[in-house]
Amino acid sequence: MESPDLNASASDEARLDRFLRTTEVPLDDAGFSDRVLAALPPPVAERSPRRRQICLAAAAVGIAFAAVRIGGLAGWHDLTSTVDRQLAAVQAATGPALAQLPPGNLSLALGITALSLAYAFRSTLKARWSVYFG
Amino acid sequence: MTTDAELIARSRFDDDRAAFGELVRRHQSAVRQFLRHLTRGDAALADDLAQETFLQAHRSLARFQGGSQFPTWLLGIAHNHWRNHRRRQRDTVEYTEATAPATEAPAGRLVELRHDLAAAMSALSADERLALHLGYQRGLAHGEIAALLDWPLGTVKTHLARAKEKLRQPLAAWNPQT
Repeated sequence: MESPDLNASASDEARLDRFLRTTEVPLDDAGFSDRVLAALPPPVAERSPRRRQICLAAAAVGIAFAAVRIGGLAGWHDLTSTVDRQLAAVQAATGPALAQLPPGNLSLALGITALSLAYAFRSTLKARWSVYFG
Repeated sequence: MTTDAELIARSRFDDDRAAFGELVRRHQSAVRQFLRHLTRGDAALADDLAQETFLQAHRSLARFQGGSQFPTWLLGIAHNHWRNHRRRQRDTVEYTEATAPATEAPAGRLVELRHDLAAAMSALSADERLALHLGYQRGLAHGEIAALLDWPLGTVKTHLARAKEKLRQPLAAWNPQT
């Protein structure tokens, strides 16, 4: 049966809704979070310290091998000079537009580096984007 | 204040345990209270299920795409754990008490209202209480409740309407006009 006073009915409804939204008393953490953290598996780095050691050792071996192959520091200087000359040739070949940029070898190196990094981390970048922006 | 999105990103990509701990602290009350409603007041069981919920959430952070609110996603995991537990137990749990606050509530009119509300809600069915908890105290929309509990949308609306109707009379005493 309808109430003859619709305004009273609407305000009763609003009041009931307000009562129902009375928030429960928040539960004290009482160590709950600490227990959850203690139950987590150990962090990835701690799970296999040997993996990090192997990677570092392999990187050191690779650097030493490359150094021996190019003939030590002197060979490294010759190599970088050769790369500089070739990058300068690329710059000259691409025309006056590149002359507007900083030295050609630096621009080209930065561009290639940026593209490589974006490609290497594309899945991580995509995932972070979705977390922040839905 | 650091947002949930930032904490989730740090937990997921940097395995930042402090960030995940902050997420747990922020949402533990909501998850534990939700589970206490499901377990009909069994606080120990609710806390066990809540711990499993957060451990599962940590393992599954990569699957949270940010489409739903993080608290709602957590409640979905909690509900799944409770359903799995019930399947394993295959027992009915005697209703012992309404959800009770873990800390002493502040004195005054608010605590009287909460007491009257709790007493009135004891007359509702478990499903009606659960719908009210999610709809009014967690602020979920009807569609979100339906998706979370795997109920038809009509069932959600029916439970809410019946629950409100049953509470109207007992709470009428709080109407200053009567």
